Amino acid sequence: MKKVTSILLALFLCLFVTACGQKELNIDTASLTSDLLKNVKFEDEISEIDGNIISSIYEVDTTVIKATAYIGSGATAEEIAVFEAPDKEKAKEVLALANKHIEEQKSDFESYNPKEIKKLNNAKVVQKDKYVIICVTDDENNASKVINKYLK
Amino acid sequence: MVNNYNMCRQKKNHRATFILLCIIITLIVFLCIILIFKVFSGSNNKEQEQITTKVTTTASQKTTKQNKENDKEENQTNANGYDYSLPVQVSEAVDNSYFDDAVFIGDSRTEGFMLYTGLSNATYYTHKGLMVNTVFTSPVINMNGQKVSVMDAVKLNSKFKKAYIMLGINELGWAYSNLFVEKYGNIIDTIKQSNPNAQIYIQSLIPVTYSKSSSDKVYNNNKIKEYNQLLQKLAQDKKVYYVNVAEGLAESNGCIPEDSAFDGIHLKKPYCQKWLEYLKTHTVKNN
Repeated sequence: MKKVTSILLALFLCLFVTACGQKELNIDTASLTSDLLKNVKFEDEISEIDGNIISSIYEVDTTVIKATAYIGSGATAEEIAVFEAPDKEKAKEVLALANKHIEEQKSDFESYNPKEIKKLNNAKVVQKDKYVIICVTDDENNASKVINKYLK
Repeated sequence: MVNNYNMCRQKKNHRATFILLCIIITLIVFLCIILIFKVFSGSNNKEQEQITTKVTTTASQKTTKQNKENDKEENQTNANGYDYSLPVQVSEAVDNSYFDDAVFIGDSRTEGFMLYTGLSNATYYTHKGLMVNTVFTSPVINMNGQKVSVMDAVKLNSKFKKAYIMLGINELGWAYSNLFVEKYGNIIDTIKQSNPNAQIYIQSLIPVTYSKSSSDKVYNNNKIKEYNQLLQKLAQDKKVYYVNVAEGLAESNGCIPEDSAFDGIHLKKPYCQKWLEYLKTHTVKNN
């Protein structure tokens, strides 16, 4: 009897863990962006960018991927970008493009304004499920706190 | 005796009458001659006067006609030509679609323009730190998966009808401004060669804030003013349009507002939109 109970318990636990793992992450991207703007310090005045421009900057198809971006004036490399892909696989592609974008920024700022390289080296580029988040700032700790709050 | 005396007297009287008659006739003839002469000379004068009037009238008519023709010619020149020594004047505002066939060439400031105006229908050949020499040499533009220089990208794109250039802020520290003008001229020549029908607009350099200008030996408004004068002269020499964007963004002291740029140079979003509005109201109709 004890044996049967243990097996049933193990099965139940397995099913529970699997069910939890399959739970889809749903983030209010507008709220996340707003929280980043409010709680993370930016040296520059980062401003919202239109969809078509986002498409050319990050090379993502904004008709498929929901995207919001705030970018600095050109004096700094500071930025926030939040992407919501249709699925995890697409999000991985976006992550690759996000990393490529950061590398290009490093290359651009290296000669133009080397002070920004530190921010770019410590840039938060995170992907979880169908979401990709970029945050370039000197205030990395607060950026991490806000992002983790939404991705947990 | 008395008869002889009477005869003699009668003869004397006849002679006197004859002499008197002669004198009168001579006088009459003389008067007639004078009269005739006067009449003739008078009519001649009138004729001369008439001829003179006629000649004067014809001459003045001719002059007026010529003046009118000259005016007409001048008007035609104004209608067809363009005074390239002057900045582009205020025009009726165009909408964003006007920039469908426009190419923007510039540095980080033009990048900001692209980001903040949302004008995504235009083509941008921009790069941070871009200069009038590196437009020919630095492969910074992604074209069909390949990195090419700005001018190579221009050569590969023959579809654009307008080219807006703003370069010079990164060259303010150059020792020889004539080198800057020479290289800038090469850009214009290259665009003209690859796309002869394109309208070329040289945009004036946007000034910096007062605090930046007064604290920086390179990035200051005196230097920017000097470069803008060179650019206006270049536009005149190359017969391209000089669009004075600086006037649309600077305050009465010649500086951009303190709150317009985080670092005194790179414009924030509202000022980039102001820049676009200036371009939209300063265009030249293609003849």
